[in-house]
Amino acid sequence: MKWQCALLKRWLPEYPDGDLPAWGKSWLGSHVPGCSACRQELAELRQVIAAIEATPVAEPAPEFWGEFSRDLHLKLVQAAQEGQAAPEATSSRWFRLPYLLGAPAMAVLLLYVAVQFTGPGAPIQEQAVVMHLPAPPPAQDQALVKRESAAKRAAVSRKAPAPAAEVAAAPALPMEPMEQIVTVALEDGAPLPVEEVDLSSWDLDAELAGMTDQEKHVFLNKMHQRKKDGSCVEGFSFCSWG
Amino acid sequence: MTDAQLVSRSQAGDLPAFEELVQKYQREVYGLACRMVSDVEEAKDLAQQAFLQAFVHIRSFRQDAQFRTWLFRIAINQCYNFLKSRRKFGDPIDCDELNLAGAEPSPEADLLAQDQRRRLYEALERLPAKQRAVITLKVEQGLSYQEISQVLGGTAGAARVNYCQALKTLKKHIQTEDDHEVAMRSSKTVAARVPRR
Ligand SMILES: [Zn+2]
Repeated sequence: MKWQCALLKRWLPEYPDGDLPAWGKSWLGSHVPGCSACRQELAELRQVIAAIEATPVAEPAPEFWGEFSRDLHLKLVQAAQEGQAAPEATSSRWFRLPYLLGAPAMAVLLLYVAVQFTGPGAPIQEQAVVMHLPAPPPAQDQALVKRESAAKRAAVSRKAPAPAAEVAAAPALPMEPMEQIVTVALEDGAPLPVEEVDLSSWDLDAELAGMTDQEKHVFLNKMHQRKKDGSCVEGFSFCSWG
Repeated sequence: MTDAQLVSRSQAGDLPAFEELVQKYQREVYGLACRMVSDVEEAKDLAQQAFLQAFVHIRSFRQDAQFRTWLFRIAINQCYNFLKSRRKFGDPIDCDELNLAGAEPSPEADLLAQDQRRRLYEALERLPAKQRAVITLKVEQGLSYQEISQVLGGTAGAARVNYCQALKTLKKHIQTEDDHEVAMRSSKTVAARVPRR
């Protein structure tokens, strides 16, 4: 498996015009038509999607929805009478916390978040990986700036509670593995001009899990090489991938 | 009336306004629950529970979010709770109920449809609940990865990974049972819905 295939395979279902940023579409568009492995994979994924679409949940009997509405109406009336509708204040403790603690506490909180995601001791999954082809220093600076902003975005998105997180009956969802933020350049000889690509939300572990040992070996060697020759600038431990 | 207007009214205690939201989303919520728990009776209960919870907590809903994704999140959580308790009490999963409910003696095309339905449901059953949720939110409800992340938590990228992983796992399950034959067959005749009862 070529390493571009490994990077692109998770986006295949979005080919040619799905839920991807423009650069992702154009990368896919320049790779997939010329790659038989990706075309094959895409055809199979599309068959699965077609099978799901062709097998919708059975429409219930005609009387079902009348019954549904009547039952639910009784429950809603009862809830309204019992005054169960939650007072607004109980719902947003996460958002009220900073107000209660005041601005100094907020500053400490932000500092904590910043250290958490950028500090030297941050868990490996939360660090950003940056690798790119040998490039003049300005480009390198750019990459770093990009990485920082990506890390900030990631920090914000991880810390912001989702709308219904506070609903009493709604337990926390299972934890998602943290994702890596990766900035890479396209490979030598890639059909697109060399440019930096922000692969935010690229989950390295998920990618590696989908490869055979040999593919993994080649892939990691490649990244190692880039790290050694200076084209991968961010210190990044590879041992966690073993 | 828009969702935002209906939500505002609901927040002010207007039950008919909330019931208009119910009318609007009941099919989607029920369909989601069916996919999640593979049990039509439970799905009906869970969908009602989801609406009830949404009503009870409607004042905690902030208008900068979409009501639909907020509602889906509540529904998914209801389903997770149900699946957790079912696992605890060891109820067997009965996918035949969904697949074959109300199916009448049928011509060959319907048998094929039933077979494909059964295979797909069995494959879906074997997915982790979260991947099942991503599949149905993406393919059937048409949510973007950003919206899916609002429903399930995590990031849009994580939703994308889960979606792709789920498709691949489904492919594997279907092909394994398949012996390279039936399930992936192009199925124009199969799309017909089988009426229940
Ligand atoms: Zn490829």
